[in-house]
Amino acid sequence: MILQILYLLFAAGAVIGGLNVVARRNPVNSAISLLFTFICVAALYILHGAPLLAMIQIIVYAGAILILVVFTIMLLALRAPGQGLGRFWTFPQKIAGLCAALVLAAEMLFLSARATFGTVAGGGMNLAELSSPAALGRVLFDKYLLPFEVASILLLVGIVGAVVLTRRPKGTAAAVDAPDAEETKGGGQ
Amino acid sequence: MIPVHFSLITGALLFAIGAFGVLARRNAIIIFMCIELMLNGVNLTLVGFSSHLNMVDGSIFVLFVMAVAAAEAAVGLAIIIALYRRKQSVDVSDFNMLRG
Repeated sequence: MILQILYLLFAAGAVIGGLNVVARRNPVNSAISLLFTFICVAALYILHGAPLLAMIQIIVYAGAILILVVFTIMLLALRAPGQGLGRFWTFPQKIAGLCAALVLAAEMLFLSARATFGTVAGGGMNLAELSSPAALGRVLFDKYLLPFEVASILLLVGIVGAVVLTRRPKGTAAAVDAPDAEETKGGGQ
Repeated sequence: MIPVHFSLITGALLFAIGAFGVLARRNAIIIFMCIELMLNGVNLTLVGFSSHLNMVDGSIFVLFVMAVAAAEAAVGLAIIIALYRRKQSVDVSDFNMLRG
């Protein structure tokens, strides 16, 4: 019972953080709300009996991906914070997005509220065995060995792609990239 | 024991919020963060089924989703930086170079 109450609290935190990500004007505020959501989701993983995944969630999402996002926001040093969801009802694109998201949410909530799920016979491990890293590793390196190796190649390609995409064209100085270099220098780098 | 419906409903809500953000916002960085939000909703659903069915396969899928999300973060943010160099903006409505 106490676990379910905790689950509902963290789920509410995750959803509120997600709404805050969408509604904020400033990308830095959105990033901090996203951090809150990630930590709440990690707590939900622990309540589901997957503590290893919770740790990986903190390390990968909150530690790596979010740092990349904040780093990009600060690297670009955006002047105008954009318009957020302000003047919401004057943009048909936003109203259409809201309608599509509401339809999507209604469909998924309807289906998940109606569905009944049985249990798999014979697939069973008990909870302590399920949540141990050893069980995860045994299945990962045995049944899913090929996807694991493909994932490593994907990460390598991702690294090379990121370096190639952000490389400056040959022979251009930094001033070409930032025509308003004086202005940003005045802003204190 | 947590009912599986809890994780399904929370995951559905996170996914819908992320989808709304992708459709309605115009800042490319916030669209990127909303995509991460949608991936988290899917991950939560997978973990919920994994613990409900007592099978570890769902957790393995979550690991792969996280690996793909990490690669996507690196490449996606590099694309945003390259776009910013070209247009000095990250507003997606500024990128209409393919329009005739």
